[in-house]
Amino acid sequence: MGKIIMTVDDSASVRQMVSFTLKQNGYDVVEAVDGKDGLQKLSSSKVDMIITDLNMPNLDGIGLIKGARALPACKFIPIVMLTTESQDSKKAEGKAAGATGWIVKPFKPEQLITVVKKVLG
Amino acid sequence: MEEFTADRTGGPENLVMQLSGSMTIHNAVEIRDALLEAFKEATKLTCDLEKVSDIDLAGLQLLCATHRSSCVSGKQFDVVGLDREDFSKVLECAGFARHIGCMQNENNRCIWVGGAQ
Amino acid sequence: MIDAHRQAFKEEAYELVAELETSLLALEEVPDDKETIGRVFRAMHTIKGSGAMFGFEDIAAFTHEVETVFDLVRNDKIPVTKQLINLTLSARDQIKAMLDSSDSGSPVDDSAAAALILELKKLLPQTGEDDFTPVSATKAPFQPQGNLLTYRIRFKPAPDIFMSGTDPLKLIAELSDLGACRPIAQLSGIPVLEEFQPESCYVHWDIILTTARGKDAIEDVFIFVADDCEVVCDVIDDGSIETEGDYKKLGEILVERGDISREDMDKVLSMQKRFGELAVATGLAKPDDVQSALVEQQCVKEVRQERQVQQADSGTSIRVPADKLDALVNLVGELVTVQARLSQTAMSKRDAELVNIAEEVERLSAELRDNALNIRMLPIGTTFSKFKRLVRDLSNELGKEIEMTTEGAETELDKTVIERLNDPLVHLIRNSIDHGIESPAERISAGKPSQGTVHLAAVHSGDSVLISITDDGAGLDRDAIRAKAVEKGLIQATAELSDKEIYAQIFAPGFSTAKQITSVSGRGVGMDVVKRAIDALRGTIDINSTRGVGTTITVKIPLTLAIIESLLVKIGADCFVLPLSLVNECVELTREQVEDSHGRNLANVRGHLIPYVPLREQFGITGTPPAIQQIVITEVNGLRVGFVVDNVIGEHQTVIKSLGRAYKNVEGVSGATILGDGSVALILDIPHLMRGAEMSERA
Repeated sequence: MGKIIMTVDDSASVRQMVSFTLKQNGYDVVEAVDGKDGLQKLSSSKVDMIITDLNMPNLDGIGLIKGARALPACKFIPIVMLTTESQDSKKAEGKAAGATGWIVKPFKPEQLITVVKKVLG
Repeated sequence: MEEFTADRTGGPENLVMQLSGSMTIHNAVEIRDALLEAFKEATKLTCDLEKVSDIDLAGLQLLCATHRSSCVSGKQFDVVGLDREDFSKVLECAGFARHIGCMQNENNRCIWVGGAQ
Repeated sequence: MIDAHRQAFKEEAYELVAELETSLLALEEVPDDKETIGRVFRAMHTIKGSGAMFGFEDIAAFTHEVETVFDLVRNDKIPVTKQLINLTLSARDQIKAMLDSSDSGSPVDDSAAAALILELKKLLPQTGEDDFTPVSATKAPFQPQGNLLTYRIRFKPAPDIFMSGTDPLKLIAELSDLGACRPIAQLSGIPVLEEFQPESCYVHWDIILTTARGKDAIEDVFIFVADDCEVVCDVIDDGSIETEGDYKKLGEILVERGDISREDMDKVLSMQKRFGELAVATGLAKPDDVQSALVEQQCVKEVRQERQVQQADSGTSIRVPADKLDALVNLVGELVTVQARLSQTAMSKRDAELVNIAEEVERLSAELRDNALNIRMLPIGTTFSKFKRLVRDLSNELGKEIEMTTEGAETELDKTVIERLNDPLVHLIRNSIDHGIESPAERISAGKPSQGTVHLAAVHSGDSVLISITDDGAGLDRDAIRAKAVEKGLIQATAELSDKEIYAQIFAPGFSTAKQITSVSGRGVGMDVVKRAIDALRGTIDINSTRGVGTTITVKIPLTLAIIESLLVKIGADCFVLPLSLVNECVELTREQVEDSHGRNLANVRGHLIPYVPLREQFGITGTPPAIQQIVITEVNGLRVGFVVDNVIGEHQTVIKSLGRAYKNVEGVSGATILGDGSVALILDIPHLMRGAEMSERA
């Protein structure tokens, strides 16, 4: 039974890369284009983990994390945010909102998998 | 993460609760409630974990808390089905196994003593 | 499929590189156009970011350096100059070349990239701090695999850790990937069910981790929770070799961790029971803490034991004080002695089973003896290298050109033997340099190369080692030695002597043929000292020399001094032992032969006349010898001398015991040994007895 991971990013190329890497490693992937899309999909489908960008139109990453934690099914699942080097304040904000960890962009597929394995086990 | 259920059999003098599903943080509230409920009437409670799909720290510390309660109230609490292959990794990580029982327990009895060492 | 991503990146990158070129050229036209500068920066930023993502680390690393410069340009820290444009254009070409090469597989010239980076760095304002440290897009590299360190990690998660989607057990599982990991949960914080908040974490851990990975690797595990959780990481065993034996006492661990106070520890200690039980019983320490400390103690003990075993395994070597080895060899000696008694008893009892056992013990003790003696063996090479220095210094002093060559430096000898060989060898080498090798002028006129050679060689030969010192000098002057020996009264003028016998004279006390006394080989006190030293090692010296060609002095030394193969003989009621290595043969001596020799102690052995020493007379043993006695013929330095004994018992493994100080000066005996029946046999000092025989022969 494969674990399901949601990737939320407004950049199609990053989404594609994340999605591809995860699938390569045996995970099932749900894609969402922004926070709003992500929350919508979360309400209808159960996921084991969320990987989200922070800067997104409509609803940003922080908003998505807060929204997800409010859902019973997502209360304790790992949520990892994608940040850039300079976004230390965002990192803290994300943690406060309930993020489990972060991945600094740019990252390589191996790093993504390392973090996924770390938080998802 | 499967739904958690608890099936009770036997009378208050020897209540057996067959737990099934996921004994994890996701169901922690439910599990706590089920245990509290069962101990309201029973003087002896045995939890059978054989049908539990997975267990995590939240599940383990719940068992510990239940045992403590039983010690305080002079009731008996037993756990069966802990010595499972798939639990051994969890127990090893959790480092619950020990030689000396907890303070609340005058007889030095502890569910973890002599456990997965 | 990864290739598809790479391909997508490359297409994107080629576009960006093209755009970079256009932007740079535009920037050259209008150097302070902010928007163009921004375009250049973004193009490089994207190449760098995506490059790292899709496996083009070289491109990412290189572009990062260029991007850094343009970050400063963007912030008005450095101006846009013609030189900057030129360099950046070159850098852009380099990026393109790197992209191209990733297709063709042919490596791109790294030096060009390095040179460009160097040039670009020159444009930077000197700030003192290194602006070029690459931002850690990747995890810090693991610390080099070093010693195994053991850490105590106290991990106290925030109560609401579950709320951040973190499972503490996963972190511990991750730790256990780093090495041997013993987590001990501290459960005392768990309340009764009625007060229990199911979504809180009540547990904390002491984790004993033994890993070769550094502290960084441990910190990486806790990277996401470091801000909210208490993680304390201490090295409790640093893997150093010196820390041996027992780890801290339980009480000390608890005090060190701050779980109990030192006063409490002392209080408990004064009660004289097992500390852990007492600490709990008295309520001074929580059972969890004691449990955890016990695990720590055990883990470190295990780690240290493991390390000691590994050290023993890893071969190279361990240092053992020499006296321990001596003690071992002594014990083996005792064992061999007892074993001899066992064998003797078994034989006399004629008990087949006992004989079997005795034989087994004999085999084992022989093996044990060989092993024990082997431990003391050292290669002779270390001594050799000291001699090289000696030769170099001496030849300078004497104005001679001498090269020293060595062979067989790996030959092993008993440590004590090597030590005691040092002085005699120094003397022999000095002698070769001083008397053997001619001056360069003499050598050239003799048609030899001006540089002389001293060759030092060691080789195993049976239970002995042969050490030879060969020089290509003038060789020994037979006539000069003979004349000198006659002059000194060492030999008679009319004596007919073989070359070897004449050469042996140089070892006679007080003999020296050097015309001039030099500081090197001294005043003619040298060679007899050498002889005595070698005799003491139960060794022999052999000389070969050819006039004008050179001299070889060969020293034959038994491998060990502790246990020797010997010949056991009997005179009257007493047993004596002769080193087997010196024994040639045994012949009978009948009463008729004694009478025929008219009082001269000479025996005719297959046509050769061999002088013999009647040991019965020598040692003043009373009683009548048997009708047929035995002559044990020994050979030392080419001289054959017989020793008359009542009968020969046979070969014997002799464990040498020194006679002690009181008997140090007893002549003709070099030691003693204990026989199988517990009696003592003296070991005959053959070279000394031979000299005595020579003296009396001449007299």
